[in-house]
Amino acid sequence: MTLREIDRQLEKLYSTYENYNGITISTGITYEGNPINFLFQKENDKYVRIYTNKNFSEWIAWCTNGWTKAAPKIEKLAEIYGVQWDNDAGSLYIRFRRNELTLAQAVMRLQQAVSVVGCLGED
Amino acid sequence: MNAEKLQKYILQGICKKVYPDKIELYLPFFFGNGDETLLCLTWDKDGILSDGGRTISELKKRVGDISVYTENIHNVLNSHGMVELVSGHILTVRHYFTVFSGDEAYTDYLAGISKLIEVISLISVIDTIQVSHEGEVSV
Repeated sequence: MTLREIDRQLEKLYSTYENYNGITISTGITYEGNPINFLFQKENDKYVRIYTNKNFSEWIAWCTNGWTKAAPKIEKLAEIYGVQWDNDAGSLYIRFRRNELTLAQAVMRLQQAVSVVGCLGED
Repeated sequence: MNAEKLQKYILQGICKKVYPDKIELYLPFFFGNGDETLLCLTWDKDGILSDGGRTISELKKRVGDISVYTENIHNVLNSHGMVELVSGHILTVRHYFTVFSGDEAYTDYLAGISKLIEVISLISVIDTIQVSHEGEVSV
């Protein structure tokens, strides 16, 4: 019974849906109770970038008391995972280049960066 | 590319194996050593989730003696709850939250995996970060 329920929940671990912003990757992963989903962004008619949603921006703004001062630290922590920081939008993102990372690897790296950067405290 | 196709590509790199007595989930984790390797997370028949000791083993492989990071590792575990270190090297989740959705109550196994992924992410790069008693990270 337990394993059947785990299996059923795991079916929802990664799902995707389209809306007016493009494609959202629902990770099934929550951060402090809030779902941190990723958006798949189009540039020149090609999907090239995965970035964190508004929930993450709000979280990082709250835990760093505005992210401007914390930006160098955020960049340094995210760099470990090959993830970059968009200081205007307050989002972490990873450029997806074909043949470098699979999509699963890119999603996982972004997820790991969220876990580490999300623990930043206000100095 | 549409959402369905994208999901298919993501799931190509994530493998789930269901057995009568356990479920294995393979995720392409980045362990800080430059490349992704598949990490196997396993649920046993009682719903206990573990990393099989892989996280600590990868850290040892990369940094050698991990005793210098003991306090940092404990700070990660103490501040994240849910995840325990069993036998000194196996990250394990035994207790889950119960979630109420309308009249239905269910055990939230995905919250357990969220927490485990957070803890593994922090411990796998513990040599490059400092973690305070409250779980705050600094570089």
